[in-house]
Amino acid sequence: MKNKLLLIGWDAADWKLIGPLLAKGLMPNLKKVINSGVYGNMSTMNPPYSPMLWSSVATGKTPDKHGVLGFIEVTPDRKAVRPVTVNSRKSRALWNIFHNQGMKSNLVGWWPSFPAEPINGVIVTDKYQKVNRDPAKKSPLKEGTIHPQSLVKDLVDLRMFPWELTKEHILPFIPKAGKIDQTNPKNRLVDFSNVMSHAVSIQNAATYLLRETEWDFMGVYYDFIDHLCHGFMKFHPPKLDGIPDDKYEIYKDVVNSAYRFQDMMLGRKLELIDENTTVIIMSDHGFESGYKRILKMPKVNAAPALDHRQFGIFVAMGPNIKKNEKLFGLNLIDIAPTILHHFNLPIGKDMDGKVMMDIFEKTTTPKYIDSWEDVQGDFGQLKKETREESWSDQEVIDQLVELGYIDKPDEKIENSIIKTESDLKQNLARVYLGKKDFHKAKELLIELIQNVVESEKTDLVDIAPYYIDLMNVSLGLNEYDEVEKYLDIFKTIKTKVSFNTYFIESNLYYNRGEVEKAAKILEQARDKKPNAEIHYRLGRIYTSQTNYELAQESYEKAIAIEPYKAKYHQGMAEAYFYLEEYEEAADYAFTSIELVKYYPEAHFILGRSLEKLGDTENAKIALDTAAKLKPKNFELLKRAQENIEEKLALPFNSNDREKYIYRKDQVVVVSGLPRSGTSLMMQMLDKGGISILSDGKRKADISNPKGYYEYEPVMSMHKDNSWLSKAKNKGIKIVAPLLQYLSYDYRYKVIFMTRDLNEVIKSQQIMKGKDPETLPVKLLNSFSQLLKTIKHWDRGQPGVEILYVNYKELLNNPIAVTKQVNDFIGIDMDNEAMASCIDLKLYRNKSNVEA
Amino acid sequence: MKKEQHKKKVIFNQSNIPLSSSLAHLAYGDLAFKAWREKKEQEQTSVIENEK
Repeated sequence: MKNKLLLIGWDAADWKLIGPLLAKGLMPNLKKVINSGVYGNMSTMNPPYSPMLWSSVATGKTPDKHGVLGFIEVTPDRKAVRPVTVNSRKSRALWNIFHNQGMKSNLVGWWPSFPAEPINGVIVTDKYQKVNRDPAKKSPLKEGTIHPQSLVKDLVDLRMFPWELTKEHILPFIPKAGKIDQTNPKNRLVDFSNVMSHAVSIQNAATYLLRETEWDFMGVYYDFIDHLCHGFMKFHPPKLDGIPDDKYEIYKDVVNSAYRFQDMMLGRKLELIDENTTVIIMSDHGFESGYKRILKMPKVNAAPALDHRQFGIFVAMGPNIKKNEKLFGLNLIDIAPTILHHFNLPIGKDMDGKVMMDIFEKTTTPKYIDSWEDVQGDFGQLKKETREESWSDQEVIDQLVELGYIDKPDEKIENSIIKTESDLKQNLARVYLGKKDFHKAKELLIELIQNVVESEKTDLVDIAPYYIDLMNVSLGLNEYDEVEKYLDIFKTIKTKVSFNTYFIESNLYYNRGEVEKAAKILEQARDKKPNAEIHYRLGRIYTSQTNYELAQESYEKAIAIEPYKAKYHQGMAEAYFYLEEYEEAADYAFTSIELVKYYPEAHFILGRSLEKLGDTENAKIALDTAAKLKPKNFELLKRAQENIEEKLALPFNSNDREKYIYRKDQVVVVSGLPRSGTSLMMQMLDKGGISILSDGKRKADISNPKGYYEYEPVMSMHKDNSWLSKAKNKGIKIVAPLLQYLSYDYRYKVIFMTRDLNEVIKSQQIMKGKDPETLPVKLLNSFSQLLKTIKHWDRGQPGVEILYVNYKELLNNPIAVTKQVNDFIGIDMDNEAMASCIDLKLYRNKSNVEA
Repeated sequence: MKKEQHKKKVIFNQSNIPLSSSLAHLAYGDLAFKAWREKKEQEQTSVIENEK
């Protein structure tokens, strides 16, 4: 029996809303699907604009490849703008591929699908349900609305008109509808009726096709939840400040009722399919329902999308789908490859998505072809001449304006064209930004700004948002001077956009190493108007400053505002880890993983905490999981895994680092504050038989009569540490503040020289020719902070072992300390030669060593 | 699956279709919608005829 597949799109459906309704038994049909199948979060892409996203669902490609870049498009003759059509899509969709393979597809309401493509099967386009709202006007079906033409007569009368809704239809959504002032032609009932009638029309067409036609694949798309959320989410409980009591009472049930009605419609569709049909229900993004809801949308391109949340929903059931299992790591770009694989068809290598193998009970190896675009033959696509016709559609434009997705088109058509082209180009730049293709994004944004400025259209097109994007692009490229340049320009631009630059500014300073300045900017923003993200980012900064208590406070506040953000819990886990409170660290890491399973950094911190708690076996599982997820700091993780392997290989449970062994290709680093004996230790290693990586550029002088043993590239290792490969099996001197720039690729044995801070500073004062009795307090404080930082840094570095060597102790007991150093490095060295470096006469003069 | 077989699967019982003006009939789809609209039109026609 053929395994058919029904794909149902619920634009903007969000588990946050669905969860409570499922618990109360108010979405029984979705519950049935979940219980018989799999479910999980569906990650969206940026920017989260629905026509782009649903085109990615259909093609498995990102918008830069499929070409649908917004809600509207410019006609090919550049004489008008119109709602986005199939003409913008440059890639073949699933139904084109199925057509080529002799399969039948039905498509209802897909955004965008007009004009209908002549596929094997039926297409009821997204123009079908968009009827005239005025009862006095007719709503003939435009040519291209339905394919094949023979179905027009059956389907045309299945469209519902907004004015047909009765109070019985409206009251379940708006029980106090009677209190709405309907003399106002723009009252909310008008919008509601419009959206509601559209959903019913789609349901009618879908149920008709489910009953009357044969098909292999069927896709049905509803904008019902999305559009009602855009209109009514601000009235959803809990009541937001700024929402009048009377309005809240009237509209507070709309959103929940929308989900319930969507579930009722699902129930009927489930009745019309057989047990061999696989069903997928998904949304393209979620929708903010908490405190982040925006009451007044800013005047920017596609502003309502600011309400979209990163995670939508995914639910599937069918003969080869796992049962009652929660899945992780799903992305909407994976839908098309997964569906192709379901039908045993090859996946295009040029597709950006992958097969979601986790959903299948029995798996087979996916097949691939280079690209479906190169395959010759009939794909049921529109002929070129048809593609270049133009359609205007005032109704749809009006609705997009009402929803706030587009501005009211300018009366001067040329202005509308310029604005639309600019918006689409900016969207493309944002797609590149989302794909981290920063160079392409930058090129586009600069071109955009130049075009607008050169054509003197800055009064028509607001260039401020382009600069905001440019700043983010430059941050991605680590071009901090550029960020500053764009920030300065942005501040001079007259714009209606109120945009907080504190995240960008703080990022800029942080990346430049001006951490205190970065913190200050966020602290000011927090004191003015706090939000969870500010608290979180402050937590990260405080962590980097090793102020873990303050970091905890910040993470706590972030979690109190948004308890379901995995990264906030992961941040807290890290703070606890550095404070050596490993049980709490593990707890927070667990919570983080419960929220987002595929979160390598959370698995990593869990593994390290469990290791510290002595639970080596579970630590291994956590670290192995983190490794599979390929985190950014993969090499760091590899070092942690090696440590665990080593511990597991021991016959007893050891949790100390007392027994040092030689590690292959280890780098021996001598570090410490300047004037703490680092040059002496380098000299000892040299004499002891270790090769030294030094360029000898800094000559011996009175302060270091036996030389400095320095290597010039060390000074710029914050920019480039690729030379570290040369230091394998050698000794190198790296001053304490630069230790943080060691690459994770190698194992390090760090001999850290310590010396009384007063002595260090005195010695430095002498070296600089200053009065040794004047104590620079600021320097003393910063040195003591640095030493504290090193201790915390060490805890986070599985590839680093540190031996602290006290300078005075070294001078007093050279033989004992030399042996300690030898054991630490793990190779046979010449102890006597090393100890002979200590010229007590020389050092006694400088440091009051007790003989 | 042949078209006829497919059609047989649908249990179409007029009495099962919610004809009342309720959300359930809207969610039910084409059959209920058509029946509801026809009923509504009949009612309107009879009101007009009665008024005559």
